[in-house]
Amino acid sequence: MRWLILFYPPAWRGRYQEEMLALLEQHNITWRTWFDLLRGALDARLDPHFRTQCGYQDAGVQLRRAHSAFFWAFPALILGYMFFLDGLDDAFYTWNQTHAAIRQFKTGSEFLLALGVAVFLLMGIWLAILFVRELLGSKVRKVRGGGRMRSLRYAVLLAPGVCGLYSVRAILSPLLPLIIVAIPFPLAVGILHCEVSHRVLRFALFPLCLTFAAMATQLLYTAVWGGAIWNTSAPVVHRMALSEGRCIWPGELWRLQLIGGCVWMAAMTGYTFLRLKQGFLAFRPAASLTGGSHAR
Amino acid sequence: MMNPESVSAGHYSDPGLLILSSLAAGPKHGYAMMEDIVAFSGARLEPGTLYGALTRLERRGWIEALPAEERRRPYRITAAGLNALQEQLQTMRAIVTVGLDRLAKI
Repeated sequence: MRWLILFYPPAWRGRYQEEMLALLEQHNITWRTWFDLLRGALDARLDPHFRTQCGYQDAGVQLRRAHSAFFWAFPALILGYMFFLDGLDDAFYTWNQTHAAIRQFKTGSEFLLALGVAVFLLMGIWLAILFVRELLGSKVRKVRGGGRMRSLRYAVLLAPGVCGLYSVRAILSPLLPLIIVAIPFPLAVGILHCEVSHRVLRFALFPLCLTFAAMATQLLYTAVWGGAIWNTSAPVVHRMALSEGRCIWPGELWRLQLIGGCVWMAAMTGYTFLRLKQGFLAFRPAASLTGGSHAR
Repeated sequence: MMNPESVSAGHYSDPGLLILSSLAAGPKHGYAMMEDIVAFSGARLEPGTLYGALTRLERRGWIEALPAEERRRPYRITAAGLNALQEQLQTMRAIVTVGLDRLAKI
Protein backbone atom coordinates (compact mmCIF):
# COMPACT_ATOMS: atom_id res chain seq x y z
CA MET A 1 0.00 0.00 0.00
CA ARG A 2 2.97 2.27 0.65
CA TRP A 3 3.55 2.75 -3.07
CA LEU A 4 0.11 4.34 -3.50
CA ILE A 5 1.20 7.16 -1.21
CA LEU A 6 3.91 7.95 -3.76
CA PHE A 7 1.20 9.40 -5.99
CA TYR A 8 0.75 12.24 -3.52
CA PRO A 9 2.91 15.35 -4.09
CA PRO A 10 6.22 15.45 -2.17
CA ALA A 11 5.09 18.41 -0.06
CA TRP A 12 2.01 16.47 1.08
CA ARG A 13 4.07 13.37 1.86
CA GLY A 14 6.55 15.41 3.88
CA ARG A 15 3.73 16.41 6.20
CA TYR A 16 1.19 13.54 6.25
CA GLN A 17 2.89 10.37 4.98
CA GLU A 18 3.87 8.80 8.30
CA GLU A 19 0.48 9.27 9.97
CA MET A 20 -1.33 8.12 6.83
CA LEU A 21 0.78 4.93 6.74
CA ALA A 22 0.10 4.35 10.44
CA LEU A 23 -3.63 4.70 9.72
CA LEU A 24 -3.48 2.34 6.73
CA GLU A 25 -1.83 -0.32 8.90
CA GLN A 26 -4.96 -0.35 11.06
CA HIS A 27 -7.47 0.11 8.25
CA ASN A 28 -9.25 -2.70 6.42
CA ILE A 29 -8.02 -2.17 2.85
CA THR A 30 -10.59 -2.66 0.08
CA TRP A 31 -10.84 -1.61 -3.55
CA ARG A 32 -12.61 1.53 -2.27
CA THR A 33 -9.50 2.43 -0.29
CA TRP A 34 -7.35 2.13 -3.41
CA PHE A 35 -9.72 4.29 -5.42
CA ASP A 36 -10.04 6.78 -2.59
CA LEU A 37 -6.27 7.12 -2.20
CA LEU A 38 -5.82 7.70 -5.92
CA ARG A 39 -8.59 10.31 -5.89
CA GLY A 40 -7.02 11.93 -2.81
CA ALA A 41 -3.62 12.00 -4.55
CA LEU A 42 -5.14 13.67 -7.61
CA ASP A 43 -6.90 16.17 -5.36
CA ALA A 44 -3.63 16.99 -3.59
CA ARG A 45 -1.80 17.27 -6.92
CA LEU A 46 -4.33 19.83 -8.10
CA ASP A 47 -4.11 21.78 -4.84
CA PRO A 48 -1.98 24.90 -5.52
CA HIS A 49 -0.67 24.76 -1.96
CA PHE A 50 1.08 21.43 -2.57
CA ARG A 51 2.28 22.40 -6.02
CA THR A 52 4.71 24.92 -4.58
CA GLN A 53 8.33 23.83 -4.47
CA CYS A 54 8.68 23.53 -0.73
CA GLY A 55 5.28 23.39 0.93
CA TYR A 56 5.75 21.81 4.33
CA GLN A 57 9.18 20.42 3.69
CA ASP A 58 12.44 21.58 5.05
CA ALA A 59 15.47 22.28 2.95
CA GLY A 60 17.12 19.05 4.11
CA VAL A 61 14.48 16.94 2.36
CA GLN A 62 15.12 18.71 -0.96
CA LEU A 63 18.86 18.44 -0.57
CA ARG A 64 18.62 14.74 0.24
CA ARG A 65 16.38 14.22 -2.79
CA ALA A 66 19.05 15.77 -5.00
CA HIS A 67 21.56 13.30 -3.58
CA SER A 68 19.20 10.37 -3.85
CA ALA A 69 18.74 11.17 -7.56
CA PHE A 70 22.44 10.50 -8.06
CA PHE A 71 22.15 7.37 -6.01
CA TRP A 72 20.56 5.65 -8.99
CA ALA A 73 20.47 8.09 -11.95
CA PHE A 74 24.23 8.33 -12.41
CA PRO A 75 24.87 4.57 -12.23
CA ALA A 76 21.81 4.00 -14.42
CA LEU A 77 23.21 6.39 -17.03
CA ILE A 78 26.59 4.63 -17.05
CA LEU A 79 25.02 1.16 -17.21
CA GLY A 80 22.57 2.32 -19.92
CA TYR A 81 25.49 3.72 -21.89
CA MET A 82 27.31 0.40 -21.57
CA PHE A 83 24.21 -1.52 -22.67
CA PHE A 84 23.24 0.64 -25.65
CA LEU A 85 26.25 2.55 -26.83
CA ASP A 86 29.47 0.93 -25.69
CA GLY A 87 30.03 -1.19 -28.81
CA LEU A 88 28.68 1.47 -31.15
CA ASP A 89 30.85 4.15 -29.59
CA ASP A 90 33.93 1.97 -30.02
CA ALA A 91 32.99 1.12 -33.60
CA PHE A 92 33.13 4.80 -34.45
CA TYR A 93 36.14 5.55 -32.30
CA THR A 94 38.57 5.84 -35.23
CA TRP A 95 36.03 7.78 -37.25
CA ASN A 96 35.43 10.17 -34.36
CA GLN A 97 39.16 10.74 -33.92
CA THR A 98 39.41 12.05 -37.49
CA HIS A 99 36.87 14.79 -36.79
CA ALA A 100 38.40 17.56 -34.68
CA ALA A 101 35.15 19.02 -33.30
CA ILE A 102 33.82 15.64 -32.13
CA ARG A 103 37.21 14.67 -30.72
CA GLN A 104 37.36 17.90 -28.68
CA PHE A 105 33.82 17.38 -27.47
CA LYS A 106 34.69 13.86 -26.37
CA THR A 107 37.83 15.07 -24.58
CA GLY A 108 35.88 17.79 -22.77
CA SER A 109 33.21 15.32 -21.72
CA GLU A 110 35.76 12.83 -20.40
CA PHE A 111 37.61 15.58 -18.55
CA LEU A 112 34.40 16.69 -16.82
CA LEU A 113 33.55 13.11 -15.92
CA ALA A 114 37.02 12.53 -14.48
CA LEU A 115 36.80 15.80 -12.55
CA GLY A 116 33.34 14.92 -11.22
CA VAL A 117 34.48 11.48 -10.10
CA ALA A 118 37.63 12.91 -8.49
CA VAL A 119 35.61 15.50 -6.58
CA PHE A 120 33.17 12.75 -5.57
CA LEU A 121 36.07 10.80 -4.09
CA LEU A 122 37.57 13.80 -2.32
CA MET A 123 34.17 14.73 -0.98
CA GLY A 124 33.65 11.20 0.31
CA ILE A 125 37.02 11.19 2.04
CA TRP A 126 36.38 14.65 3.51
CA LEU A 127 33.00 13.48 4.81
CA ALA A 128 34.61 10.40 6.32
CA ILE A 129 37.17 12.56 8.16
CA LEU A 130 34.42 14.91 9.32
CA PHE A 131 32.34 12.08 10.73
CA VAL A 132 35.24 10.37 12.43
CA ARG A 133 36.17 13.68 14.09
CA GLU A 134 32.59 14.19 15.24
CA LEU A 135 32.43 10.65 16.59
CA LEU A 136 35.72 11.07 18.45
CA GLY A 137 34.41 14.37 19.81
CA SER A 138 31.48 12.40 21.32
CA LYS A 139 28.96 14.13 19.09
CA VAL A 140 27.38 10.79 18.26
CA ARG A 141 25.06 10.86 15.30
CA LYS A 142 22.54 8.20 14.48
CA VAL A 143 22.27 6.36 11.21
CA ARG A 144 18.85 7.42 9.91
CA GLY A 145 16.32 4.74 10.73
CA GLY A 146 19.03 2.32 11.75
CA GLY A 147 19.65 2.92 15.43
CA ARG A 148 23.16 3.21 16.84
CA MET A 149 25.03 1.24 14.19
CA ARG A 150 28.46 2.68 14.63
CA SER A 151 30.36 0.06 12.69
CA LEU A 152 28.04 0.41 9.68
CA ARG A 153 28.41 4.17 9.85
CA TYR A 154 32.18 3.89 9.83
CA ALA A 155 32.11 1.40 6.97
CA VAL A 156 29.75 3.47 4.86
CA LEU A 157 31.64 6.69 5.33
CA LEU A 158 35.08 5.25 4.82
CA ALA A 159 34.01 3.35 1.73
CA PRO A 160 34.59 6.22 -0.75
CA GLY A 161 38.25 6.18 0.13
CA VAL A 162 38.47 2.42 -0.40
CA CYS A 163 36.61 2.81 -3.70
CA GLY A 164 39.07 5.50 -4.68
CA LEU A 165 42.03 3.19 -4.10
CA TYR A 166 40.41 0.46 -6.16
CA SER A 167 39.58 2.87 -8.98
CA VAL A 168 43.22 3.96 -9.13
CA ARG A 169 44.28 0.31 -9.31
CA ALA A 170 41.66 -0.39 -11.96
CA ILE A 171 42.40 2.54 -14.25
CA LEU A 172 43.37 0.24 -17.09
CA SER A 173 41.01 -2.52 -16.15
CA PRO A 174 37.89 -3.40 -18.16
CA LEU A 175 36.05 -3.09 -14.84
CA LEU A 176 36.62 0.69 -14.78
CA PRO A 177 33.04 1.60 -15.82
CA LEU A 178 31.70 -0.54 -12.98
CA ILE A 179 34.09 1.12 -10.55
CA ILE A 180 32.87 4.52 -11.75
CA VAL A 181 29.31 3.35 -11.23
CA ALA A 182 30.14 2.26 -7.69
CA ILE A 183 31.84 5.50 -6.66
CA PRO A 184 28.76 7.63 -5.86
CA PHE A 185 27.11 4.84 -3.88
CA PRO A 186 29.01 5.16 -0.59
CA LEU A 187 28.67 8.93 -0.60
CA ALA A 188 24.99 8.73 -1.45
CA VAL A 189 24.40 6.11 1.26
CA GLY A 190 26.30 8.25 3.75
CA ILE A 191 24.25 11.33 2.84
CA LEU A 192 20.91 9.53 2.80
CA HIS A 193 21.26 7.35 5.87
CA CYS A 194 23.28 9.44 8.29
CA GLU A 195 22.28 12.54 10.18
CA VAL A 196 24.39 15.21 8.52
CA SER A 197 24.10 18.97 8.80
CA HIS A 198 22.65 21.17 6.06
CA ARG A 199 26.09 22.68 5.61
CA VAL A 200 27.48 19.29 4.61
CA LEU A 201 24.48 18.55 2.39
CA ARG A 202 24.90 21.85 0.57
CA PHE A 203 28.62 21.35 0.16
CA ALA A 204 27.98 17.89 -1.23
CA LEU A 205 25.90 19.39 -4.04
CA PHE A 206 29.02 20.62 -5.82
CA PRO A 207 30.40 17.22 -6.85
CA LEU A 208 26.88 16.44 -7.99
CA CYS A 209 26.94 19.55 -10.19
CA LEU A 210 30.19 18.48 -11.77
CA THR A 211 28.91 14.98 -12.37
CA PHE A 212 25.69 16.37 -13.80
CA ALA A 213 27.75 18.53 -16.17
CA ALA A 214 29.59 15.37 -17.25
CA MET A 215 26.29 13.56 -17.82
CA ALA A 216 24.92 16.45 -19.89
CA THR A 217 28.12 16.77 -21.93
CA GLN A 218 28.21 13.03 -22.57
CA LEU A 219 24.61 13.22 -23.77
CA LEU A 220 25.40 16.14 -26.09
CA TYR A 221 28.47 14.36 -27.41
CA THR A 222 26.45 11.23 -28.17
CA ALA A 223 23.74 13.32 -29.86
CA VAL A 224 26.35 15.13 -31.97
CA TRP A 225 28.18 12.05 -33.26
CA GLY A 226 24.92 10.13 -33.48
CA GLY A 227 23.54 12.84 -35.78
CA ALA A 228 26.77 12.82 -37.81
CA ILE A 229 26.65 9.05 -38.46
CA TRP A 230 22.88 8.71 -38.83
CA ASN A 231 22.97 8.47 -42.65
CA THR A 232 25.66 5.81 -42.67
CA SER A 233 24.41 2.54 -44.18
CA ALA A 234 24.12 -0.58 -42.06
CA PRO A 235 26.83 -2.60 -43.93
CA VAL A 236 29.35 0.22 -43.43
CA VAL A 237 28.53 0.50 -39.72
CA HIS A 238 28.87 -3.27 -39.25
CA ARG A 239 32.16 -3.30 -41.16
CA MET A 240 33.51 -0.53 -38.91
CA ALA A 241 32.37 -2.42 -35.80
CA LEU A 242 34.02 -5.58 -37.10
CA SER A 243 37.29 -3.80 -37.78
CA GLU A 244 37.30 -2.52 -34.17
CA GLY A 245 36.42 -5.99 -32.89
CA ARG A 246 33.13 -4.80 -31.40
CA CYS A 247 29.66 -6.34 -31.53
CA ILE A 248 26.65 -4.16 -32.34
CA TRP A 249 22.95 -4.93 -32.86
CA PRO A 250 22.20 -6.65 -36.21
CA GLY A 251 20.99 -4.94 -39.38
CA GLU A 252 19.37 -1.55 -39.04
CA LEU A 253 18.87 -2.14 -35.32
CA TRP A 254 22.05 -0.14 -34.67
CA ARG A 255 19.86 2.97 -35.14
CA LEU A 256 17.55 1.70 -32.38
CA GLN A 257 20.66 1.14 -30.28
CA LEU A 258 21.70 4.75 -30.83
CA ILE A 259 18.24 6.21 -30.18
CA GLY A 260 17.72 4.02 -27.11
CA GLY A 261 21.03 5.18 -25.65
CA CYS A 262 20.24 8.85 -26.29
CA VAL A 263 16.71 8.62 -24.84
CA TRP A 264 17.95 6.75 -21.77
CA MET A 265 20.74 9.24 -21.13
CA ALA A 266 18.38 12.17 -21.70
CA ALA A 267 15.91 10.73 -19.20
CA MET A 268 18.57 10.22 -16.51
CA THR A 269 20.16 13.62 -17.13
CA GLY A 270 16.78 15.39 -17.16
CA TYR A 271 15.67 13.74 -13.93
CA THR A 272 18.97 14.62 -12.27
CA PHE A 273 18.64 18.22 -13.43
CA LEU A 274 15.18 18.54 -11.89
CA ARG A 275 16.37 17.15 -8.57
CA LEU A 276 19.45 19.35 -8.55
CA LYS A 277 17.29 22.37 -9.26
CA GLN A 278 15.08 21.51 -6.30
CA GLY A 279 18.18 21.04 -4.16
CA PHE A 280 19.41 24.52 -5.04
CA LEU A 281 15.97 26.06 -4.65
CA ALA A 282 16.00 24.74 -1.07
CA PHE A 283 18.48 27.53 -0.30
CA ARG A 284 15.81 30.16 -0.80
CA PRO A 285 15.09 32.00 2.47
CA ALA A 286 11.35 31.19 2.33
CA ALA A 287 12.09 27.48 2.01
CA SER A 288 14.61 27.26 4.80
CA LEU A 289 12.14 28.40 7.43
CA THR A 290 9.44 25.84 6.84
CA GLY A 291 11.10 22.88 8.63
CA GLY A 292 8.06 20.63 9.11
CA SER A 293 5.80 23.34 10.53
CA HIS A 294 2.09 23.18 9.88
CA ALA A 295 0.29 25.40 7.45
CA ARG A 296 -2.27 27.80 8.68
CA MET B 1 -25.75 34.40 8.24
CA MET B 2 -22.99 31.86 7.46
CA ASN B 3 -19.78 33.05 5.98
CA PRO B 4 -19.01 31.81 2.42
CA GLU B 5 -16.28 29.42 3.63
CA SER B 6 -18.58 27.53 5.94
CA VAL B 7 -21.29 26.98 3.31
CA SER B 8 -19.24 24.24 1.68
CA ALA B 9 -19.35 22.15 4.86
CA GLY B 10 -23.13 22.37 5.28
CA HIS B 11 -24.19 18.93 4.06
CA TYR B 12 -24.52 16.12 6.58
CA SER B 13 -22.28 13.79 4.58
CA ASP B 14 -19.57 16.38 4.18
CA PRO B 15 -16.31 14.98 5.63
CA GLY B 16 -15.41 18.37 7.09
CA LEU B 17 -18.58 18.54 9.17
CA LEU B 18 -18.20 14.93 10.28
CA ILE B 19 -14.60 15.52 11.35
CA LEU B 20 -15.47 18.70 13.25
CA SER B 21 -18.33 16.88 15.00
CA SER B 22 -15.99 14.05 15.93
CA LEU B 23 -13.31 16.37 17.27
CA ALA B 24 -15.89 18.32 19.28
CA ALA B 25 -15.77 15.36 21.69
CA GLY B 26 -12.00 15.70 22.14
CA PRO B 27 -8.69 15.29 20.25
CA LYS B 28 -8.34 12.18 18.07
CA HIS B 29 -5.95 10.73 15.55
CA GLY B 30 -7.03 9.64 12.07
CA TYR B 31 -8.14 6.08 12.78
CA ALA B 32 -10.01 7.06 15.97
CA MET B 33 -11.85 9.74 13.97
CA MET B 34 -12.88 7.20 11.33
CA GLU B 35 -14.23 4.83 13.97
CA ASP B 36 -16.05 7.60 15.82
CA ILE B 37 -17.65 8.91 12.62
CA VAL B 38 -18.92 5.44 11.73
CA ALA B 39 -20.35 5.11 15.24
CA PHE B 40 -22.31 8.37 15.28
CA SER B 41 -23.22 8.86 11.61
CA GLY B 42 -22.86 5.50 9.86
CA ALA B 43 -20.62 7.14 7.23
CA ARG B 44 -17.33 5.33 6.68
CA LEU B 45 -14.68 7.76 5.51
CA GLU B 46 -11.79 6.28 3.58
CA PRO B 47 -8.23 7.48 4.39
CA GLY B 48 -7.85 9.59 1.23
CA THR B 49 -11.09 11.46 1.89
CA LEU B 50 -10.29 11.85 5.58
CA TYR B 51 -6.86 13.37 4.96
CA GLY B 52 -8.13 15.56 2.12
CA ALA B 53 -10.64 17.08 4.55
CA LEU B 54 -8.11 17.27 7.41
CA THR B 55 -5.75 19.22 5.15
CA ARG B 56 -8.43 21.76 4.27
CA LEU B 57 -9.68 22.13 7.85
CA GLU B 58 -6.17 22.59 9.15
CA ARG B 59 -5.42 25.23 6.55
CA ARG B 60 -8.59 27.12 7.50
CA GLY B 61 -7.52 27.05 11.12
CA TRP B 62 -10.57 25.04 12.21
CA ILE B 63 -8.47 22.18 13.55
CA GLU B 64 -4.85 21.92 14.66
CA ALA B 65 -2.34 19.12 14.90
CA LEU B 66 -0.99 18.09 18.29
CA PRO B 67 2.50 16.60 18.79
CA ALA B 68 2.79 13.15 17.19
CA GLU B 69 2.38 10.05 19.38
CA GLU B 70 4.81 7.60 17.80
CA ARG B 71 3.67 7.72 14.15
CA ARG B 72 0.10 8.84 14.79
CA ARG B 73 -0.75 12.52 15.08
CA PRO B 74 -3.86 13.61 17.00
CA TYR B 75 -5.88 16.66 15.96
CA ARG B 76 -8.09 18.94 18.00
CA ILE B 77 -10.75 21.44 17.08
CA THR B 78 -9.91 25.14 17.53
CA ALA B 79 -12.16 27.95 18.78
CA ALA B 80 -12.71 29.03 15.16
CA GLY B 81 -13.60 25.44 14.32
CA LEU B 82 -16.16 25.29 17.14
CA ASN B 83 -17.77 28.51 15.87
CA ALA B 84 -17.90 27.15 12.32
CA LEU B 85 -19.40 23.87 13.53
CA GLN B 86 -22.01 25.69 15.60
CA GLU B 87 -23.02 27.86 12.61
CA GLN B 88 -23.36 24.86 10.35
CA LEU B 89 -25.37 22.83 12.85
CA GLN B 90 -27.73 25.75 13.52
CA THR B 91 -28.31 26.12 9.80
CA MET B 92 -28.95 22.41 9.52
CA ARG B 93 -31.33 22.53 12.47
CA ALA B 94 -33.31 25.34 10.76
CA ILE B 95 -33.46 23.31 7.55
CA VAL B 96 -34.55 20.20 9.43
CA THR B 97 -37.28 22.14 11.30
CA VAL B 98 -38.65 23.67 8.10
CA GLY B 99 -38.45 20.37 6.25
CA LEU B 100 -40.25 18.43 8.99
CA ASP B 101 -42.96 21.12 9.26
CA ARG B 102 -43.59 20.97 5.55
CA LEU B 103 -43.63 17.18 5.59
CA ALA B 104 -46.19 17.23 8.41
CA LYS B 105 -48.54 19.40 6.29
CA ILE B 106 -48.56 16.98 3.37
